[in-house]
Order: sequence, then C-alpha cells, then structure tokens
Amino acid sequence: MSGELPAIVVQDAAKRFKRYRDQRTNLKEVLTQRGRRNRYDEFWALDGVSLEIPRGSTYGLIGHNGSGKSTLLKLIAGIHRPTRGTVTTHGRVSALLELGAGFHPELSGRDNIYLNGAILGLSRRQIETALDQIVQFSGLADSIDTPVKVYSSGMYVRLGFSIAVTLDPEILVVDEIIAVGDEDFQRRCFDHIHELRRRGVTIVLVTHSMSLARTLCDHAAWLDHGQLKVEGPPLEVVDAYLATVNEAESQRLRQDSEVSYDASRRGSGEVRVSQVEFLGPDGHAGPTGISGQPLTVRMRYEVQTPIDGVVFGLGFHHESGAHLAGPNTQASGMGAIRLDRDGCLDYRLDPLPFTPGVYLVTAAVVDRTLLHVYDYRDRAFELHVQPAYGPEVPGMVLLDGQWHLVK
Amino acid sequence: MRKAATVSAAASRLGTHVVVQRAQALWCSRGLVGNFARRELKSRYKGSLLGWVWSLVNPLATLGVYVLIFGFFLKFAPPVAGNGLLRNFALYLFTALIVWNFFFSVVTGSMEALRNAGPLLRKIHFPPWTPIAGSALAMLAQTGIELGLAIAIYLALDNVGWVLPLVLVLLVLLVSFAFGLGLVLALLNARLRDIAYLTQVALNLLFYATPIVYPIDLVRQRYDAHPWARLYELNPVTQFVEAFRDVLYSLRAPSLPRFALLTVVSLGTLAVGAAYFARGSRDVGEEL
Repeated sequence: MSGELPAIVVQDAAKRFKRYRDQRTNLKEVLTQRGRRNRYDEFWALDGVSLEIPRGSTYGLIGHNGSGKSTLLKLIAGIHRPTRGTVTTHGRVSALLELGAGFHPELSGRDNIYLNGAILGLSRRQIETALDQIVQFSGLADSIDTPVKVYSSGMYVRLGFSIAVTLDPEILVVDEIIAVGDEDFQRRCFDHIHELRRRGVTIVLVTHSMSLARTLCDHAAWLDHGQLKVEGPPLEVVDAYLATVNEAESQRLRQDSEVSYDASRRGSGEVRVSQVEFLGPDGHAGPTGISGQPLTVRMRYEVQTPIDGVVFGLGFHHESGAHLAGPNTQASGMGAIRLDRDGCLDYRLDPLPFTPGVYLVTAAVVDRTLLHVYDYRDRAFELHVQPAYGPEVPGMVLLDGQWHLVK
Repeated sequence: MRKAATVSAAASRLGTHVVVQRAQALWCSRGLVGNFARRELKSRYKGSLLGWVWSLVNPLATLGVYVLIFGFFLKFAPPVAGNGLLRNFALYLFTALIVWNFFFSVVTGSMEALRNAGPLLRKIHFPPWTPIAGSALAMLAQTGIELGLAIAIYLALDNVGWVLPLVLVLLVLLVSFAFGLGLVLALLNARLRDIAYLTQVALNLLFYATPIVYPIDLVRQRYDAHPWARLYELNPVTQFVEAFRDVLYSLRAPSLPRFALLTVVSLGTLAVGAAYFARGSRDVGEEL
C-alpha cells in the first residue's frame, strides 16, 4: 500500500513572504505609524503549485533565480508552512540546504559533529557510532580537534557533508549543494546520491545544471515566478526551460549587439558571423560541451553581399591563453565557398578533444588569399568543456593514442 | 447521532494521540537541547586562560562590590541565620544573588538564543524552543556551581537544616518561571527588537525592586505608613529570593502562602509561555 502512495503530495501550495521596506519594525514605528499598514510588500514566492513526487524517484526542480524552487524545498522540509494549500510528506525528511549550518566557530570539529548531528535529528548514540566514519569520510582526522574557525571553507563543507551522509532519510531534500566544493567532493556527493537512489530514497533536488537534471532525475518540474510551468520527464522539462532561456538570451544578445561596439571584431562586413553555437550529442545548443563526447560548432552567418571564394576559420584558445587549434575550410580541402544568403556552417568534432575548462573560440570569415578579412570575431565565444564520467586527464587536449605493451 | 459519536470518539482518540506525539517530540528534542547547552558552555570560556574559573570570579567580584557598598558603607544588617549564631551580610546577599543571576541570565539569554538561531531556523527544521531551553540549561549549570559553593560554605559554617532538599523544589519553580517568561520575551523580541532593550531597563529596575542588596525588613517597616507599599511583595522574584533565603539562610520552610504563590505563578507562567510560544513560533524563522 505505502509503496503506491506518493512520497510527497503538494496541493495548491502557496507561500507569501513579507518584504519589509526598511529594515525592521521598532517601537517608534509601531507607535507613530499605526494604521499605516503598508510597511511591507507582500509577494508570493510560491503561488498555487500542485505536484506529486513518487516514492523512490529522483525529482529535479529547475527554474531561474527567485522562481520559488527553494521555497518549495523549504515547505517540503517543514522549515516554512504554506500560506495556502498543503504539503504532505510520507516518510522521514532530511534537508540539506546548507552544509555545516549551525557550526559554532569556537568549537572543535568533533564538538560540531555532535551539535550539527543533533540539529539534523541524529541521536547522540547514532552520532557516536558514526563518529569514526564521519571523521574518516571528511578526511579531517588531523584537525578534528581544532576549532572550525580555522578551517578552510572547503574543510568546513566537507565536514558538513560527512555528517549529512550518516543521515538515513526516506526523503532527502537537496538545495544545490553539489555546486560547491572541489571535483573530488562533487564526485563523492554524486556517489552518495546514487547510493541513496539505489536504496530507494526519494530525492528532491534543486539544480541549475541542466545536464544533472537530465542525467540524475526521473522527473522534473520547472517553476517560474512561483508557478509550475512544466512537469514531467526531465528531457522534456529541460528542453522547455532551455528554449525559454535561450530565447531570452538571444534577445538580450541582439539588444546588446545593437548598442555595444564590439572591440574584438573587425572586417569589411560582406559576410558576418552572427553567432557560434555548440551542439552536444543530443543536438541541443548551449555554451557547453562534454570532454571526449561529440560536439558540433555551428557558425551562423549573415550575407550582406553575395560573394564567392569564402574561407571560414575557427580558433580555439584555452583560457590560460594557449592557442590550441585553428582549423579552416581551405586547409581541410573544402574548396572555395560561394555564399548567396544567410545560413550556417557546422564544424563537427568527434570526439571533442579538450579536457574540462573554459575555451575561447574565434570565428573568422576571410577570402581565399586569407588576407582580406570579411569578419573576424576574436575569442568572442566561450565554450565550457565539462568533464565526462571517468578518470580525470591532465593537460588541455585528449589524445587518441593507443597503448601497446611490447615485451 | 451515531455518526456524530464516531466523529467525536475519533476526535478524542486523535486528541490523546496528539498529546502522546507532542510528548514524544519533546522527549526526542532532549539531545538537541543538551547540545545547544553544551555549545554555549563550551564556547563561553574558550580562549581564556582561566576558563571555568571565571564562572566563579564574576559573581564573587560582583558580590564583593555589593558587600562593600551595602554591607560596609551603608551598614545594612542581615537577620540572624537559622543556626542562631551566624549573621553574615555577604552570605545573605550571595543567596539572593544566585537567584537573581539565574533569573536575569535566562530572561536575557532566551532572547539572544532565539535571535542567534534565526539563520539556522531558515535552513533546518527543528523546534525553535530548543535553543532557548539549551541556553537556560547552560545557565542552570552556572547556577548549580554557585549554589554548590553557597551550600559548601553554609556546611562549613554549620548552618544547614533539614529543609535543604526544598532548594530543589524551589529551583524547579524558578526554572519554570524564568523559562516561561523567556519564551514569551524571546518571541516578542523576534517581532520587535525593542523588547530586548525594554527588558534591560525593566530588569535594572526589578533588581532594586527585589530585596537582594538590602534586607526586606527595610521595606516592610514602611507598610504601616504607606499601605500601598505592600504591592512590593507581589513581585514573584522577591518571593523567590525570600524563599531561597528561608531555606538556605534561615533554615525554615517557606510559608505556605509564599509556596502556593510561587507554584501558581511559576507553573502558570510556564503554561502561558509554552502555549504562546507554540502558537506564535511556527513561522518565527521568517521573522528573525
């Protein structure tokens, strides 16, 4: 029976916050402004959201900042009460909205384990049994008895997470904590979340990483200005969300290009590169690529005057400044190109041979002598290469070499 | 009819269920209260050379000043103690000061504890009364030390009576009274920051409206001339101070009316405070 019951039922939930105009009330204001009721604005952080989160599923909440995602999480976690509607949870809820919340700077790491554990709902005995494991997991055995005020922010978060790992929730509510910490820490977060998923824990997470929403979640919901926009399979929800974001962004870029003079741009302008897009294996455009996975660089061009003998080129620079590659259509043997009207040109990389990091991409349109420049956009586009699963490789490029053991 | 009966039966079952749940929830929070108290105690003297010694130096220094001014310069005379020999203003004052220190620190500490817990309450779901109780518990530890010292001195001076265990009963009542008041003030202060400052002023006045640095007889002498001055005795802190002096200094049980008054006022304050806090604290995280 209980297996069929959804873990969380949100019915027409709404939350109103008061936004105080000026700091806080004090007695003078109360006495002199009695009757004047508008000392604060009211705004609905969440406005009539209904959804069901199935037991054992991983549920992603996406949306722009201030869309009500975190408010919904806090309603589920019981930190806030809905102003209207109901939020019903079936199962023990643990919320990880901030790691190391409630740490006292003067106390040692060990003391803070007890304190934070108690705040998170662990009994003293539970903490005592898990203490060694927590210390080991955090990797802070050497500094566990020093006050946490001398910890680095990374150590702080690691200790907080290690305590959270010992929680045994039926429903876990996570707010973007995966975004903090180093790579190693993030991996551990993922491992832990995967482990919980295997155990059948219902996970609700807020994320701004669309790839995370796609890969980790079984369901997703997109919130916009406190309202539920789309709910369903993550691919559809993410697509719907990205479509709006991209639309808004290109609109902004269009506006920007009208007002700002692009200093890094030169050329006579018969043909102009209007945009460079990066398409992942799934065909979605975004500023990101995944290391070692296929990537298509799409150059959109606008033709002012029809022209013949055009050569397109790309330049890839690592953020550290190194110029890594500069392919062009002529060198690749594509021959002269004749352009009559707007269109686009794809440069396909399989695989994308760069290691994770930020790369700056130059797009150029020149004539066949490579001397006359129609349009040159120097390092005008950013490509964020994200890590794929698997071991991390040092350096900037991935080599497609083969290893052979010769005896 | 039948339907109504089922409904009300269900309601009453629900009622007991809720009570049991509440009690369980309170019991489950004991670890959290303990941890908040430990946090306060451990961090209090962190980084100081003398550490816990300060917890005694502080009240004793205050005591020294009061004794100098009120005992030596102003020559307030204490009554003769229970063993018929002892007549010591410092001890007479110290006994009252212990009560006052506890009351003062719980009331002011409650407001601070809830305010400091604000950021945490917006991140993690936990009962908002627990930091207040933790702070009160930490104060109780301090009071335990002071009380232990006082009793040790009384023992050394052979001024201890069979009524001594009543101290525990009085202490329970004092905790209820101060904690109940602390709950109310902490919540009010969450909404209106002026409450903390108002309380400071009120406590300053209350300190002198309570027979701590002077014997209560100084006030009682005026009752004949000014009958309204009897209002003075309605102050629960006065009653507490006098009750503790009854037991520790004069070695007699507090009078029945005094005991009754303290019981009613203390448990009433606790009940009202708890009810008010339970009702008003649900969204307190948003207001802090």
